[in-house]
Amino acid sequence: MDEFKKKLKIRVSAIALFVIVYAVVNASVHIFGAERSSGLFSGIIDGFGGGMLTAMVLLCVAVSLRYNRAMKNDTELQKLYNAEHDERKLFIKQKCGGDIIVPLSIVIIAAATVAAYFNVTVFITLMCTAFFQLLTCCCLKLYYSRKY
Amino acid sequence: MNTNIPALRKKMKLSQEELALAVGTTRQTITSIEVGKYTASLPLAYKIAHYFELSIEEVFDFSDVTLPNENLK
Repeated sequence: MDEFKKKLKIRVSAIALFVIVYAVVNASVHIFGAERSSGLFSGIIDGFGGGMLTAMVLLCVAVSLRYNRAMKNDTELQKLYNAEHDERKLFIKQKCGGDIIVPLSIVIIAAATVAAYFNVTVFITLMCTAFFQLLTCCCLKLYYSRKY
Repeated sequence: MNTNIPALRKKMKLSQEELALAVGTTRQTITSIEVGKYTASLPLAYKIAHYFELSIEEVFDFSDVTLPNENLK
């Protein structure tokens, strides 16, 4: 369990680093950033990037709080360890393709964010692909969670 | 697969959460095993049986498992 605790500490540190980098970059962009272009799609693209990063930061903070709470309480730590290593959960994840679909969707969303600055059609196509993949994965996860 | 886990838990006045914590799994997995939706792996079955100080056959009902034909052995 000590090894798992160390792993959680590393995760919390990585999250803290990400949040700090986000805060610094965000502040720099607002203080020194160039004037944003106008137009519907420019607004969508700018808003999407900012919104996605903010959502990621909020998610990271929530996960970090959960890890911190678990590290202070042995029972919570054991529960978290059990949840992460639960054979049924891993089986369901494998069945719904979560091992490959989630990382692939993250790569597609990252590619879409970059592509957004060059071509709006490519951005929308990639985003639709990623969301359809994630939706399929979620539906399969729900189905298998009920089945097993 | 049928199991005697609910009866054994009742006998020991143990909740699903407590059993899950003791054998290193989640409450949902214990529920699924109890209702026969999910078949536990051999290591998990062994952990559960060991927790109740019984053999695997005493905890899990293998009557519906087809054994290999004696002639094919």
